[in-house]
Amino acid sequence: MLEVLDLHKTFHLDDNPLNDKKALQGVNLTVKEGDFITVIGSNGSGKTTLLNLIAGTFLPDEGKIILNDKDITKLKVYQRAKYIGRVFQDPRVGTIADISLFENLSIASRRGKPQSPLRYALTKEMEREFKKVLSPLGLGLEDRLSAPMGTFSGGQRQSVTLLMATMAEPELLLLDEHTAALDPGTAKTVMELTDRIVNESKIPTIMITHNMKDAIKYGNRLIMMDNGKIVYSCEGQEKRNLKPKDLIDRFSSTGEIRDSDFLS
Amino acid sequence: MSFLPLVFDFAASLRSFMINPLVNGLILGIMVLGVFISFRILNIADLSVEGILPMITMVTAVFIDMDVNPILVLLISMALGAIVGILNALLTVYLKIPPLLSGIIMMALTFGVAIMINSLKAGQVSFDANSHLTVFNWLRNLLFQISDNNVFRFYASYLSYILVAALLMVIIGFALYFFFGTELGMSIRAAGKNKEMAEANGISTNKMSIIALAISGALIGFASSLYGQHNGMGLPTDGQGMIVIALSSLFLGEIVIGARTFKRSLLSAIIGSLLYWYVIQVLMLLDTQGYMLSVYKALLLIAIIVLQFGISVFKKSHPKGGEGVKRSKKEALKEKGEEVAMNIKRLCLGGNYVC
Repeated sequence: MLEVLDLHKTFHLDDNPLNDKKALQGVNLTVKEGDFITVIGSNGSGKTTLLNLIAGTFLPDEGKIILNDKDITKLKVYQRAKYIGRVFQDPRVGTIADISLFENLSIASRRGKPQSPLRYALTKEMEREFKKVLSPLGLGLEDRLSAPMGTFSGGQRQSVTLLMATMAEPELLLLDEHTAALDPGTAKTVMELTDRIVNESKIPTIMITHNMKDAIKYGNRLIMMDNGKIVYSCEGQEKRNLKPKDLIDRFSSTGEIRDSDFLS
Repeated sequence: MSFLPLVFDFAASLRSFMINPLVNGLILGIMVLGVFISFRILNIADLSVEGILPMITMVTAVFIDMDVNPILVLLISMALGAIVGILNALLTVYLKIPPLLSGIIMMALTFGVAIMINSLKAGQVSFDANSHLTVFNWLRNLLFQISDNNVFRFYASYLSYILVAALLMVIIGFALYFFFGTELGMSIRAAGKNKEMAEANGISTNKMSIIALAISGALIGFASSLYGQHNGMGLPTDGQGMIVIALSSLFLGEIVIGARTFKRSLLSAIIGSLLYWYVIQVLMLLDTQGYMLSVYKALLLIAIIVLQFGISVFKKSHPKGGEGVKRSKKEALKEKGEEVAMNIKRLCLGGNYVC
């Protein structure tokens, strides 16, 4: 269970306090076991900042982040990685282009496990195990274990990143618009894969998305952010009955729509 | 060096064309491996080799002159190099000094130590290779016991240089190959290639920088000590142009061998170093006055970089069967140009730029 308590974050662009960007102004959020939360909000609403604070990219000015009774507010990114899996928006960030798929997976499979620095990193046993996890994806990746990651498409790289983020069974999964950089067809495939993995593994998940249909279709809970605050939250039956139009109406009532994406 | 004696003096031409480039290529090849770790694995431009080398050749010369065991001298040199590497990494990690600048600071610092030793020893930092033991001449001394024939001794002496240098190169090459296949080695490679991915997978990139620069420094220290033991002396000017030599060797190897896999990129550093010294031997023939070599070396590096750029653009516009997208020459040129610009940013500032 993740508890985010009264999180504040201000970015200082320069010395002038008038130019300070108040990215988060008191966010409270509880993610329960098995939750799959979708987050929407216009650009600058603070949703990515929230995710970055949970992942540890920045430290909050105020507030606490508690994951399964551990206070992780001050931990560094690599220390939290033991508990948190993450998929980035840019498919090039989640994997390393110059090394093989096998090597990428082997790095991810050791996350959060006891380290034995001088043991050989690639074993036959791992190869079998990776083939077993890759084949259900249906992308033919299991036959290309030794190919450099850079030769794969964006969708394939994003699918692999998703697999890497979840294979060490983290306590929380963060998805930062992970289908936004893909073409619509691939985005749909990756989204369905995400849904399958999250539902099977039951890892609590927070997913930022720009796509309102996805936000409604997937997950059991939806939150909307604006101006550094959570302005709307719904779950269960209420969420299932939502229509994209309702969300747009809500946007117009809570704040201006700064992003043309929402109107399309 | 004039051309005529080379044709007629078999011993001298053998030395010029077979032995010198081979010994230089092997000894300084270990240094190239050190630069390979900072430049290619960690992706930072570390120039400190220009200072570490003279400092350690001088330390080596002083110790060998004091009859310290040459193996122990090698170990001390590795430790010294590793300390410099660690200090360099700490400047970047804790004081947030960009790696290019911290490397220059360490270069100035180690060069300062070299100057200091030189002054303390009143410019006489050398030892007599006939009366002091080095890693090279123990084998030579063994071979000398077989016969006192002058011709035999001539070949035996060079053979011992080559054998010792080759043996050490092979040991280090395999050690690095296995090390970078281990969990720690893989983590270092990940940290150098993609900082965000590494951190998201629980790897402390700061720790990896420190370990990698320590290994890089240790290798440079090791090679510098061999260089000093081979030359029989240490000069403050020993390090001059070493970064040019290291980068030329590295790029030349990448042109010939390629860097598609880690094994290949490691091999390209070694083969590149050997090839480079043969090219230099040819350039020395052109340099009849004897003062143009440094200029030639710099021009050669430009030529190698341009050649590597050109080959890369050609490969992008003529992809092999089904591999990658075919681009027009103009697109390929633009794309490669952007890659290079990105690389320079990353090398100098140590930021995280993905490609």
